[in-house]
Amino acid sequence: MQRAMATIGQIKAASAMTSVKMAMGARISPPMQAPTVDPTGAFYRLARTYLRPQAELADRFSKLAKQWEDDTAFTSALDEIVIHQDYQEIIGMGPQALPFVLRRVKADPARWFWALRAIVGHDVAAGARDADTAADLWIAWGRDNGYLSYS
Amino acid sequence: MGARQRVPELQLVDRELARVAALEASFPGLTPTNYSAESPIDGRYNCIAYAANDTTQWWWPSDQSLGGHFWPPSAPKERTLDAFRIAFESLGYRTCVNGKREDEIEKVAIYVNEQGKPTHAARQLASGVWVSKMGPHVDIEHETPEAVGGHEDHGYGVVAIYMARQLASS
Repeated sequence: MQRAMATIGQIKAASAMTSVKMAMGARISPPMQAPTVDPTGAFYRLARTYLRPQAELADRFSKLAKQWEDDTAFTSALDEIVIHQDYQEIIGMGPQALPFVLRRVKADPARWFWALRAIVGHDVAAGARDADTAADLWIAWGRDNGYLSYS
Repeated sequence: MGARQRVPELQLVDRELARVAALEASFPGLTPTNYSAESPIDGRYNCIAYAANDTTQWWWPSDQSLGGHFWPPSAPKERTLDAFRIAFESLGYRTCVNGKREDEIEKVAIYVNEQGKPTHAARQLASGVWVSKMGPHVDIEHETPEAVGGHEDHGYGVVAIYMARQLASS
């Protein structure tokens, strides 16, 4: 029974590690698997120190983005959109927020460009004449810089 | 056992119903009989762009130019009624008296909030019906400019000016 529970735990940990790393845009090939034998506990120490903060980041980003989206759902005023407290907190997350923002930029492009430029420090899409082109430029930049996967 | 998961199609319907509910809650002037949603949610463009017949980018004045955003170069980069008037003048519009439908004339309405800052623009179709893009949300058709008006968190304020231009003859 104890052995069976350990196996399920390993599978969950491997699955969580893979999905979080994919969410973070890491290039994973082949998918990471939990070791069958982990006598030193290194794998689980890594999981505790790496996975939990990443999951917390994802959760924090989702909550901030949801509140911001709700509060600005019908607003065109860019100044109000970007000064919103939750949007500013996302910018304050720094580069850690980039994988999450970049994953949303295709579906909701125009309002995220300001945050992307604020975090990165320059406008990757400068001169783009439409939001789709600008989003594509940001996504390509995200892939080239390891914030998004190529898949 | 937890609640059964609804099939994706029903989840989509749930989300759309929630969005409609949010729209009507935020704009008390909109009722099920005086407007209709005409597009999916689209974050590429906003109300100013849509009033200007552009569905590819976000129009708003800003000190810093940004790829995927636009503001007419001739208009001041500030959130004032004058700046918005000049922006639409760059498209051939001139200030007019009211929003009554006129043959061969296209009109836009520019809204301001209680501080006099522009919040929204709507465009009149040849039929006399008005169209609005609700921020990053949906496009709607509404019978009157006032339908999306209102104060503070409920509506876009009041129409400050109407502008008109001659429609190009076909």
